[in-house]
Amino acid sequence: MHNKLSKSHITAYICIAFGAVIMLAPFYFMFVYATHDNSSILSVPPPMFFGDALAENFAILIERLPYFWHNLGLSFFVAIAVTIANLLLCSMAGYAFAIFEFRFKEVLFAMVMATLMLPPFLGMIPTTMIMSAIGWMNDPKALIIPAACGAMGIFLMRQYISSAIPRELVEAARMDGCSEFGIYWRVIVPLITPAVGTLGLITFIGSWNNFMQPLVVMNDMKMFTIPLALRALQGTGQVPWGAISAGAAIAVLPLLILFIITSRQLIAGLTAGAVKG
Amino acid sequence: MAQVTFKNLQKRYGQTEVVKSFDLEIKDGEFVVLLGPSGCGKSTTLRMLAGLEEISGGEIYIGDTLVNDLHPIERNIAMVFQSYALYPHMTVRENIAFSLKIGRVDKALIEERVKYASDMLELTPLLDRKPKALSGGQRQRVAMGRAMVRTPEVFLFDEPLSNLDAKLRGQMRAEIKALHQKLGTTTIYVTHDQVEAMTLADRIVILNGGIIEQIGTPKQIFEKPNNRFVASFIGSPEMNQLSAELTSSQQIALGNQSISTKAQFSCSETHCNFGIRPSDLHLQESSVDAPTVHSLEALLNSQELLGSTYHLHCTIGDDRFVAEVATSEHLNTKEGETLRLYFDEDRMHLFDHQDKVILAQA
Repeated sequence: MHNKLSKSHITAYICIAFGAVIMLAPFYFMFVYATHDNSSILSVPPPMFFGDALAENFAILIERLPYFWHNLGLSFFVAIAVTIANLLLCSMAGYAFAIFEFRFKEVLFAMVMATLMLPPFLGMIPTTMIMSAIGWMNDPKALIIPAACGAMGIFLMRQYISSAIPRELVEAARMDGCSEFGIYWRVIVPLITPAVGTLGLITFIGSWNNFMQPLVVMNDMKMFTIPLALRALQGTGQVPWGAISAGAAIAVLPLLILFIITSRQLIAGLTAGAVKG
Repeated sequence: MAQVTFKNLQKRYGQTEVVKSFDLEIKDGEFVVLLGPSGCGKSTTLRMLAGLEEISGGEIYIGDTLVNDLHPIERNIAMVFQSYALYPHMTVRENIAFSLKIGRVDKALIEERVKYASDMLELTPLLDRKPKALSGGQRQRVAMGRAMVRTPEVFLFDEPLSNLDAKLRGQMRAEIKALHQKLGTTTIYVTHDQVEAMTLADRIVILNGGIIEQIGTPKQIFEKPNNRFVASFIGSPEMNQLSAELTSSQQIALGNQSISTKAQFSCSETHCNFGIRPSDLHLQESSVDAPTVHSLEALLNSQELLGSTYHLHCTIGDDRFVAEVATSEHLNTKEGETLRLYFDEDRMHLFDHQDKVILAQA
């Protein structure tokens, strides 16, 4: 019995280790290539360990992308704005769907959920046309406002609130004299922090990595977000792989730090709704 | 403090009528218990009074004010919920003070009221704890404290003891009673537990299927039930009901036995139901302290010793019933034997074919 158990343990560890290597290898090579010049990267076999061309790669990066720091800042601004907007709007909508009774509630919720069925690319062209019509092209608003609230966020919040917040708590707050917004702000929000944390992380990462929407609404290089800016390096002439890797490493760093700080909460939040009675 | 008046109160969910024409006047400072089986509309009535449920018809007054369309806070009432509904992220102190804080009450006054409530409910050492670090009874007391500090005109309790174990329930019952005596606030209490109703209430309102079956003091409800539902709902073991014939205004036939009553009964049909509480049946004639004693012969099927009493499970014809007799009175009768049971005429009840009580005419 003991033998069998440890055997299955070993198999599991091997599988997990294999998966980890596959997942981590691109990250590792991104950091390695950030320290090598192009000729070294393109040699066969490619370099496996860290080199000494990091400063040189940075110089190329800044030279080719004069607005790199602006792009990075813009990415931050957009991601933070989108995250705050999502947390507020999705939690309010989720709260309403979970607690209130109103006409057409089921139909409205079905409509919200139905938006998940649409491929994101389908909405891209109409969104872009609207942005163009209202003069928001090359404006961060065009990245923030359309992404300010999403079906996935509403769904996550609704599920969490309906499983974690007893209706009597809302009624008690109402009897205590809270306004409807007061109930949301003073009672609901403090109790849904795990879900807020999870949604915040998912939204921030999604916005940070978003490539397609900036691609169609941002034409001015100064207004590029980081993924777009790095992609622009591959545009013409010789592709500076070392510089791209250095830029990608910088772009990934905030996410890595964020993830290391909050991974425990992220995982707890993703499973919490499922096990609460 | 205030009186509460319900006038023709109704609640419908679509086609389903949950509360039908509810009329009740509750006096200032009175403790009224709404009692009934689950689904009888008692909680819905309470929630309509609290303002948590819309009213489909009728009127509710608190004092002289019509409150139908008032927000819960404007009704000046406080409610203790079945699940206590304490805010998990706040300490006991914050929970108790929450409504005052929302109402922008002066800080010093909040402090004073919290102290008053926590002293009265023995919560002072727990003020800085969160609800999850409290026992069920302590949580219950915090919920009461939260209701108390608002000095409401009416207290509402919605099955507040049903999450507690039996021992704690008894203790909390006494505390609620003591609190009511101290504060004298009009209180409406919803429960399905007849013991809570009997021990706490000044008046009990028995509800069934959305209508009031009877309103009365615990003694009236127990001794003079209006109908078969009330008779069987109150009392444990429940009242025995045997089919009978009213052969004349003073003659009742139970199987082949007949009872000649002193009082006169009148009913349009001869068929009726004879009711008697198990504790009103005795094995010795001398145990019945009454001017008019009757007796019945019954077959003993089985018996259970409960300590100070015996439950004798008997039959007369096809009807089964239970007699609860003191152990000291027990005559060592064996199963299968016939025994004679004595009772006071004043303790028997007759119900007509509509299950309404047939009153005796002296």
